[in-house]
Amino acid sequence: MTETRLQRAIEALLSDKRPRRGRLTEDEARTLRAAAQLRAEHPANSAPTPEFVDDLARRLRQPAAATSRRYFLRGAGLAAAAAVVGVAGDRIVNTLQENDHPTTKKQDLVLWNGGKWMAVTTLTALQTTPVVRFTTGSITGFVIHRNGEVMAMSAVCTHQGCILTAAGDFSRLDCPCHNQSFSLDGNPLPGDYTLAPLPNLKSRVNGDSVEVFVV
Amino acid sequence: MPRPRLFPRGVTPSRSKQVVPDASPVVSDASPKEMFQVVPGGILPVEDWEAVYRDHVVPVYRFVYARVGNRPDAEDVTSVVFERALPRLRTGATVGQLRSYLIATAKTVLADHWRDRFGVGELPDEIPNRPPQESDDAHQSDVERILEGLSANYREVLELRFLRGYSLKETALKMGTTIGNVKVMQLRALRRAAQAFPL
Repeated sequence: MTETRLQRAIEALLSDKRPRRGRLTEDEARTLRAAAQLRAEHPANSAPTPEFVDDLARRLRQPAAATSRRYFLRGAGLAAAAAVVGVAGDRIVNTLQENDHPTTKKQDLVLWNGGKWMAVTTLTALQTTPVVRFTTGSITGFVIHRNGEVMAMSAVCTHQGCILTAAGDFSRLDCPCHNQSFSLDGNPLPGDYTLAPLPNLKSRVNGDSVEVFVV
Repeated sequence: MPRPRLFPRGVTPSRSKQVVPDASPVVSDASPKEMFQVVPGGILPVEDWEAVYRDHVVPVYRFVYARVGNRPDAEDVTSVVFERALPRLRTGATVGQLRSYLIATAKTVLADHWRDRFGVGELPDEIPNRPPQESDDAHQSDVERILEGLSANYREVLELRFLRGYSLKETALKMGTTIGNVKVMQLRALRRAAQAFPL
């Protein structure tokens, strides 16, 4: 008989491998779930390996875990934001906390230490272009110069993870995917969606350089 | 152009030493004491999150494994659960509250995983809806009870393949049948077992 997708998935579990991506009916999915539960009864599968436990502990101390990024990016916009928040949410060059604006409350998310300072633009450049987008290894963000202060924030739309662009007059950040914009302080402007604000990135000025704390 | 303000109100002393522009601004020298998370209810010091993690990683992994059935996926999902849940924990939560929150997070991540991988919407959680037990005796008996309810052939094929790790060939030899037959039988047995899982 021909091997069905379900049978291949079951054999993958029996080899302790990931089943391939592919659509299953609900009945098939329930069958595979039964296979998973039975597989969990095998003594070898009753606990994570010490290597995994230690490795995850180490990764949890780092900003923005890379291994599971795809879940964040495919998930809700909020989750996509969480992926960059590992290095976000700090107040170092951040005017938001000082504004008495109810919606400027950033997500209550963690800042793990780690990462490194990288120069992404200069004060000179910001004088002519007050909104500069940058990309590092894992982060795409904006450096924004406004009212005499410099701050940095994620450039990933908290809706579905599209990369925002600065409007031509630098008055706001626009999402290319949907009809949605953010103000320069990272808060969503009224639109079709109810979105979380853009997470802040830690930033500082070093001489003429503007540096962000990123991975 | 006015000089950007470097130290707005609210910067903690322990962080502010990191933002002083210096000659070699390369990597932060994070000391464990500085590793904390700001959460609505307060701050969870690093010692605590490490303890939370160490206390719960094994039960969460087991919970996840029983719903994905393979190590790579179990590791990925478990990672996401902690990445997502730890920043939102607060101090003062009881062990039971922590466990419930982690399990609830795991269910959300698992639902995403199944949707993403197999295009299926949320499946009812057939496995009894309770946190994994320390002993896991209750869970064990669920599985045993399900196996008991199957015909002898079905039970044997599932035990050999899933619980004892026999290959298709070994199972066929042991049961005196063909590999093709084993495949068919194990699929039917699983289907039957799936129906028997409590809703």
